[in-house]
Amino acid sequence: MEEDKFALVEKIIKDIENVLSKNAELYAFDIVPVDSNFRNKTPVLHLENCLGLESWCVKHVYMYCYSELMDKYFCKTKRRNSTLGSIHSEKLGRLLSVTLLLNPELNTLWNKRRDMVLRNLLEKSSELKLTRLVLSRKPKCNEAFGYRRWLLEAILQDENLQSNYVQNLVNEELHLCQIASDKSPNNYHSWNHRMWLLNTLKKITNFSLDLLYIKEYNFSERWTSKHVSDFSCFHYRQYCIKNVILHLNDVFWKMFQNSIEIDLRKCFVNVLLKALQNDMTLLNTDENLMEYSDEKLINLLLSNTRNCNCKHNNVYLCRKFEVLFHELVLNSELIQFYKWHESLWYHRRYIVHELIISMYEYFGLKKQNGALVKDNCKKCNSNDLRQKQVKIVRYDCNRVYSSAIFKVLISHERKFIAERNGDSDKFAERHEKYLKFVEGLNIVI
Amino acid sequence: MSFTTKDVVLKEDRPKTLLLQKHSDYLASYGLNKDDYEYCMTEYLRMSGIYWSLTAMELMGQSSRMPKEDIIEFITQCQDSESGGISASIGHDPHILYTLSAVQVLAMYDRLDAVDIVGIVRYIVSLQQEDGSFYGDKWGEIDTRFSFCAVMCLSLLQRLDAIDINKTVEFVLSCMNFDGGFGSKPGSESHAGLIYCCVGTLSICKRMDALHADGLAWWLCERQLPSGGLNGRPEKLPDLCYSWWVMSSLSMLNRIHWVDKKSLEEFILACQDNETGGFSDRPGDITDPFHTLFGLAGLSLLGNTSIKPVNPTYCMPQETIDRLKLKPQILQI
Amino acid sequence: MVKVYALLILYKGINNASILKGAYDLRSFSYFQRSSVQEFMTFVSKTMVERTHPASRQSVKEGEYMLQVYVRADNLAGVLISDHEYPNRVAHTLITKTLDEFTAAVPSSTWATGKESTIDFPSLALHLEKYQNPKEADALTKIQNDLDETKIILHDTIKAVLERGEKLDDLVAKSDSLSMHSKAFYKTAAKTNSCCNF
Repeated sequence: MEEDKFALVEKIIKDIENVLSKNAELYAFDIVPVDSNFRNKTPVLHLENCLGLESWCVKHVYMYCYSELMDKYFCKTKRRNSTLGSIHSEKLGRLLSVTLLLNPELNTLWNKRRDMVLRNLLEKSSELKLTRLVLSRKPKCNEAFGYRRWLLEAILQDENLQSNYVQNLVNEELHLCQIASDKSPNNYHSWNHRMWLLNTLKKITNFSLDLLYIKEYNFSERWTSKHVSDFSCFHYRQYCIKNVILHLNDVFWKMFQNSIEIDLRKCFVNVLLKALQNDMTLLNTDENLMEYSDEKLINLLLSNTRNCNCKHNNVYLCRKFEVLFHELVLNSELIQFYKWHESLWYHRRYIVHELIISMYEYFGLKKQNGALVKDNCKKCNSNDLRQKQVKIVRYDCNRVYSSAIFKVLISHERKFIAERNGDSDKFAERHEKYLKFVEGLNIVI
Repeated sequence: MSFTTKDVVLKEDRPKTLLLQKHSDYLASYGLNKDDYEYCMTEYLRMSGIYWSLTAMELMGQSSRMPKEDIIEFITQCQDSESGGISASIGHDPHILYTLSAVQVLAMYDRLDAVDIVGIVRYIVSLQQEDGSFYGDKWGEIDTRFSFCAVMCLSLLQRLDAIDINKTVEFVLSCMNFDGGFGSKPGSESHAGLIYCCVGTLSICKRMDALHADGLAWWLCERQLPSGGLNGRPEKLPDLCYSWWVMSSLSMLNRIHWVDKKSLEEFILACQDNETGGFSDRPGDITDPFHTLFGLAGLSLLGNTSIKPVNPTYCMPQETIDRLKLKPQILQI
Repeated sequence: MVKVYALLILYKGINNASILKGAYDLRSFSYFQRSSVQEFMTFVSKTMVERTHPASRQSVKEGEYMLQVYVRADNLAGVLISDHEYPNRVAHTLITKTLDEFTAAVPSSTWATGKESTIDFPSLALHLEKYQNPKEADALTKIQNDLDETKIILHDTIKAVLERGEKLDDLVAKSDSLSMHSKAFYKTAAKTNSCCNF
C-alpha cells in the first residue's frame, strides 16, 4: 500500500514537472478542491496555460517531497559531502519546485535554488517563471517576491544588457505586480516590489526613468480611482507624485503635461477662483490668472519677500502646486462619489501636508516637535541670525498664514469638511481634528 | 453607518472571561504529532513557534508545562557553526528572525550559555550594511524587522556595542513617513507591525526622542474600530495581533490611554475559542499559538492582573527583562 | 476595488426563481475556480430573488461580495454582484435601467417559461463591461434620479435574508444545480482562514 502511494506521488511529481518544463506560456497555478480521487485520473490538470492540482493529493505529495528534501538534501551531516551530480540536481530541482508551489513560505528551499542558480544548475529566466506561478496562487508571498528581487538584481548587474531587453523585464515585472495587487487588496508586498523596481532602475545608468515616472503616475491615477479602499495603492500614488515633483524641469514638464488629459493650470486657477467667490479678500486681482507667468502667480500667492538672497525656483513651485491641487480635486471627487473611505481621507492628509510644508519652506520655516521654527536655507545654508528670536518666528508664521495660497487652501478644506459632514461622513470631522491637532493648524482653522 | 466600515460584530454568546486553563492546555498539547501535515507545513517557523508558546506560558505562570530540556537541546542543534546564526528548525537555513526567537527563549530560561554567543554576535554583525540597515540572512533582503531583531538580540546578549547604533537608528528613521509611521524600507507604507519594530528599535537604542510622537500615536489610535478591535492599516479588518503591535507601540510612547481599553478587552476576549482553547485573529476563526501569545500579551498591557506583566519593547515577561537589567526607553511626556 | 462580477436577470415564479440571462466577469478568479464561482453566483442570485418580496430592493453583504437584488412588482428581477466599494445607489439604478431595457427587448409573455439559451439579450454583457466604472455609469443614468436610497433594505449577511431555520450550508448541500466540484469548492472556501501575515 505505502509502496503504491509512493509510486503514485512520484508520478504526480513527474506530471507536474512535465507541464512546467514543456509549457513556457504557463502563467498560473492553483489547487483545485476535489474531495477524493473518484475519477481515478491524474490529479495534475493543465488547461489554458494554467496548472492545477487536485486537493485530495496535496497532503501526500507535500509530505513526500518535504521529507525527501529534509532527509536527503538538507540533513546537516549529509549536506557537507554532497557533490550534487546532474541527476541529483534534476531530482532536487523537481522536489523543490513542487514543494514550493505548495508551500512558498519555505525560505530555506528558495535559498537552495539561489545556490543552484549560482552554480548554473538553474536558469534565471525559468526561475522567474516559477515564482510567477507561485505568486498567481499566493499574491502576498514575500519570499517569492524576495527571490525575484535577488534574480533581477543578478540579471541587471550585467552592464551589456540591451535597453529593450531591460524594458521588457520592467514591463513584465510591472504586470506581475499589477496582477498581485488586483488579486489581493492592500497587498503590501506587491506595491513594495513595484517601488523597489523603480528605485533599482534609478541605479542603472543608461536607463531613462522619465517616461516611466509619467507612465506610473498615470497608471496610479487610474488604479486608485478604482480601488478606493486600498490605501497601499494610494501610498504608491504618493510615491509617483513625489517622483514627478522631483523632476520639474522644462523637458519633463512638457512631456508630463502632454501625457495627461487635464490642463493643470486651469484646474489650479479654478480652485483659486472658487475660493475667491467665497471670500473676495483672499486674492486681490481682477486679472486673468490663466495668463500669469509661473513667477508672477507665485508672487501673487505667496508674496515675494524672502529671507536669504538665494534665488528660489518659483517656476518649480508653481508646477508643484499645480500637481498637488489637481490631486486635491481628484481626491475630492472620489470622496464625494464613494463616500466614507478612510483611505481616501488619509490620502487627502498627504496632499494637504505636502502643500503646507511647501509653503513653510518658502518662508524658511519647518516644523519641529509640533512647533514652527526657522530653518536654514538649504541652498546657501545661511544661518539666519534672527533664528532664535521668537518674535521673528511669529512674524514669519504670520506671513505664511496671511499668504493668499494658504488662505485658499484653508478655506477650501473648511468648505469641503462642512459639505462632507452633510453626507454624514464621520471622516470629515476626523479630518478637521487632524488638521488642527496633528498638522498644527488649530490657530487658523 | 457600520455597514460601510470593514469590521466584525461581536456576538452575544462570545467568551467574556479569560479562559487561562484552556489556553495552557491548548499550548501544552500543540504540535505534538511530528508526522502531521500541519507540523511540516509550519516547520519553517518552528523556532518562533516555540517562542510564542513559551512566552504565553510564562505570562500565564505555566511554563513548567513546556519541555525545557528538549527545547534547549533543539536550539543548540539549530545553531549553524559556520555563520553563528540560528535556524527555524534542524536542516533549515539560519536567519535573524529565528536567531532572535532562540535568544528570547534562552533568555527566559536563563540558559544563554547553551549556545555559542560569540557566534551569534558575529552573525548579526555580519548582516549590518553600510547604511545601517540589516539583512535578514546572507541573501540580502532588507527590512526594518531585521533591524529590530538585531538590536533586541544583541541587547539580550549585552552586546549592543558590537554594531553601529547611530547608523542603525539613522536607517530606521529613514523609513519614517509623513504620518509619523514606519514601513519595512525607506518609502514603504506605514504598517502597525513595522511601527512596533521601529519604535522598539528606538526604545532599545534609547532614541525615542526622534519620533513624531503625537502624530504617530494619533495614527495608531485610529486603528481602533467600532468593534473595539484594532487593524494594522486603514480599511483593513481588525486582527487580534494588532492588539499587540499597536498597544505595545502606544505603551512605549506612553499614550496607551488614547484607545478605548474596555472595548478592546472585549474584542480580545471574544477571540478566544472556548472549546479548543487559544486565541484566533478574529472571533470564530481557528486558533494558533501566535495569536494566543498576542492576545495574552495585549490583555497584560491593558492591566489584566491574572497575567504577568509583559514588557512592551521585548514582548517577554517583565521579570526576565528586570533580571537581565535591561531598561528599554519609554517616552516621557 | 470597484468591480462588478455578475449581472443577472431572473423571473420570480411561484415556487422558485429562474435565470433569464446572466453575464459574468470572472477574470480575477483563477481559471480552475471560474466555473464554480459562476455556479455559485447563479445559485445565490436565485436564492436571494426567491426571498425578496416583489416591488422591493435589498443589498446583502456576504464575505467580500455585495449582492444587489431588485424584484419588480411584475416579478422580473435583477441581481448585480459586486465588491463592497461599488456604490449601492449606482448598482440599483443600473439594475432598474437594465430591467427596463430587457422589458422592451423581450416580451413579458415569455418570461415565465424563458430559458437562458433561448433568450436573446446581448446588451447585458455590454452593460456589465460598461458598469465596471460606476462613475461613468452614474453619469449615464443621472437622468433617472428617482431612486429612493432609503428604500433599499440592507443586510449584513445572507443569513439575515434566509428564512428561519434555513442555512446556506444546507441549501448548498441540497442543491441540484451545483456540481460536486462546486460543492467541494464551497467547503474549502468556508474553511480557509485568512492569515494575519500581511
